[in-house]
Amino acid sequence: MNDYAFLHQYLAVGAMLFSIGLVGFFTRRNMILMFLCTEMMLQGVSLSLVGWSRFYDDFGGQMLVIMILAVAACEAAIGLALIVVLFRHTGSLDIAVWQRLREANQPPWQDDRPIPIPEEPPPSWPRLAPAGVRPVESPETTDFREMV
Amino acid sequence: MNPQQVVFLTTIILGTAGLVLLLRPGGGTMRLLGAGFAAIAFGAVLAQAPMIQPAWEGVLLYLLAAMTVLAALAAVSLVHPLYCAVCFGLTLVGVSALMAYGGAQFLAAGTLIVYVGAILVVLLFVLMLAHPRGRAAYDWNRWEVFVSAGTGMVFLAMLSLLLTRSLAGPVQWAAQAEAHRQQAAGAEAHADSLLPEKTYLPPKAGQGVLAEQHVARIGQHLFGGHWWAVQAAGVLLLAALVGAAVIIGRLRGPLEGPQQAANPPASAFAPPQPDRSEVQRNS
Repeated sequence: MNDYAFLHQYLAVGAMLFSIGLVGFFTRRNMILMFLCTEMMLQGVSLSLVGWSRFYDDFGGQMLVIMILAVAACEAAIGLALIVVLFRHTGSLDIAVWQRLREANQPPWQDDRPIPIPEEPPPSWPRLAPAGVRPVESPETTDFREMV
Repeated sequence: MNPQQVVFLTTIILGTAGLVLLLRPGGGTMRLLGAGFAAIAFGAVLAQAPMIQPAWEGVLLYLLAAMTVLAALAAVSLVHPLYCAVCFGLTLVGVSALMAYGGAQFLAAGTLIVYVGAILVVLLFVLMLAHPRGRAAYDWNRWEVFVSAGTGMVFLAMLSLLLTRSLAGPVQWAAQAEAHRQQAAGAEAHADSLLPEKTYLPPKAGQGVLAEQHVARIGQHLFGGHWWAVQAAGVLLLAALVGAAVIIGRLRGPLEGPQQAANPPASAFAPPQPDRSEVQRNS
């Protein structure tokens, strides 16, 4: 019975990771975060394979996870190289910039929602002392000046 | 309604609502509410698994699973990409802890080394290289949130229902598996006597995943029965290395984005090249 409890829990967590990664892949528009969500789906599959491997007391699942690791490393190398090249072309990581690759009969996607980006606070520059006036010095500065 | 149907509907309704509230732009209180809804939905899925004995192991596994899933939710829903990457790192730590607990210590170490040590760091490098200002409009406004969250949650609910129904009669299944294993062990014992020495053998019962000398057994399997897969993975890694070098090698000069280095946008969030984009206010 404990074996089934382990299997159930591992498969449930794997399914959750996979579905969360799926939702993230569908909704996010940053290409790097889409890539990250793909890796999350791979993690879900790996976890369920480990659960099966423990349940059947067999190393086959773990062998497959090692292959998944290798494929994920290759995917990271190629995918991030492609993302850098795409960023070089458009200056943006937004996947919607590439929507001109869509089917010919599809309308363009336009977003009219307001952007709730908070305003950046104005930069606080250091205040310079006016020329010709001796600045007020703190007692620490005058006390320890000789030692410097 | 039986409990399975209750969990099915809870997962779909509360999970979709929670994910929509989490992925909607803005609103700290609504995000907290969404996180609560999503936690209830995912907790309902997780609570269907029978309790693991002894109890402290079960509690430990539940805590690890909760940490993993919450970090995954944060990685998907946070706005700032660097925070997303850090939360994904936390997810990876949770997954590798679960792997280590499930009898895959080598894979846990490999996941930490390869994912956190290599992939996540490269991802952060690219993020900092390409996106130094942190927040952009396309991190705030997402694609079709409601449809995506509904799809994902229906998928999760169906998987959960399938799991619960499949594991409903474990006793007969366990008896069948045990009989099958005994039969296979007998056949192996007969076949072992006919094989020459140094022949690769599949593990006997009790010498599998949870046995001692885990890494030695993994090496035996990896380079015994799966050597061709190791070779294929090596060739694949080499090809990926060469491919990445070829793709990146075409770039000349510093990576400053397109021709905006000499003419930076006035605002941090101004569209870099409106004429190339058909999206009006997003990029």
